[in-house]
Amino acid sequence: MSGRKPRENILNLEKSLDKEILIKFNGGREVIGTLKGYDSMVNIVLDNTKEFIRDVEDHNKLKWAQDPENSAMLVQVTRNLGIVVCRGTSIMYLCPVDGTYEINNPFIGDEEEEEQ
Amino acid sequence: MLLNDVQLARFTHLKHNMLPLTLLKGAQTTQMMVELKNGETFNGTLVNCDSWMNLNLKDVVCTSRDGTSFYQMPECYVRGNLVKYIRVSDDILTQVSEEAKKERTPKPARGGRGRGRGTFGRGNAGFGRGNDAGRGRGENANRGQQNGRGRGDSTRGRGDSGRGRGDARGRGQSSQRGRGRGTN
Amino acid sequence: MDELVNKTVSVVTSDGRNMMGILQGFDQTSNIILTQCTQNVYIPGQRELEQIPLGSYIIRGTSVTFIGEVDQEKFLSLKIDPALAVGIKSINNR
Repeated sequence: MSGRKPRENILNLEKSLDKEILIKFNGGREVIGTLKGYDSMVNIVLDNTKEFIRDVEDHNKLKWAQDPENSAMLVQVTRNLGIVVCRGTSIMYLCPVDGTYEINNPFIGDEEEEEQ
Repeated sequence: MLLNDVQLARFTHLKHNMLPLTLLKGAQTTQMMVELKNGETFNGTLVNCDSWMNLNLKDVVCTSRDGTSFYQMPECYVRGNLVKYIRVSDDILTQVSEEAKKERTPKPARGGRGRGRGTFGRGNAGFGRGNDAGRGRGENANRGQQNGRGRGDSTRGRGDSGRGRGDARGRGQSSQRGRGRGTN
Repeated sequence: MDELVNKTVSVVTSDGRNMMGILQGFDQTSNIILTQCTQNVYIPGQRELEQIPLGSYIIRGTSVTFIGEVDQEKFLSLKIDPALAVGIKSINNR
């Protein structure tokens, strides 16, 4: 009846169950956690959730600190949140952690793709 | 009636309003660039989208708002209400408009009937609502009845049955019930 | 909006960009399709305005500030001094 709900999710979260996913929220918060559950409105339950702490001056940047084990390395500062229910409406985007990594500018020399 | 070129052009213009979501649906499996309200951009292949413009992309490169960091992601789900704009290739636009044209030409027979059926269905639902909650409502009506009988087997069932009983008593108050359903 | 379809329009988005393109379609929520889209950038100190070609765009209705029909030839012949056209600021900096 409710024609406003999608028949089925455009995203198959089934295959991401018990895998780590990254969620960015509306206000800019970013968390990482193990996907434990979801529904058709993309409300999400995460376990072992870690929130990335953001830079005090620039909220769009994440905070980095020296790795206590290897002082030459920088690691992202996080805090543990445990089990979290993420409301679908405040999710900006989500992606699996597996296979997500920072890369160098892939558009370099590609004038058309230049930002702004 | 003979239309001159200008009139004809105007006429066809009206018919050529391509809906953004239609284009987006047609752009599935193609490369696109999505910019979010916060300035981050996603370059990737569209896997799926829905009527809220929620997007499922694969092989994504995410660019931060200042354009200094880049992330490779195998796939990504982007919520539609945070999209600022989507950049698609020009080819897909011509492709989709041609498809739309093709669909439009044999329409008189097929499309006409289709539309007719649609209104019939809707009319029927209204009729069912107005007369008897049990009749002409299909799935929902059944649900209501079931819950009415098997009251209290679950919290949700109880909630529904409550509504169902209300309906049985307030038969014929179609508008009231309709509104209730709508907001729920 | 019906009359604007297939016409060149100028669109200002909520982040302050000024785009020009051919309106191909729109919907209830004023999501719009623009083709042959260019972004007009006014750089103070530069004689001419810069037009960056961008291709085809679907712009979400919520980020559209206004849409208006433009006669591109007339517009270009106006030769607006970029110094006068002060950049429009973003209405939200989310």
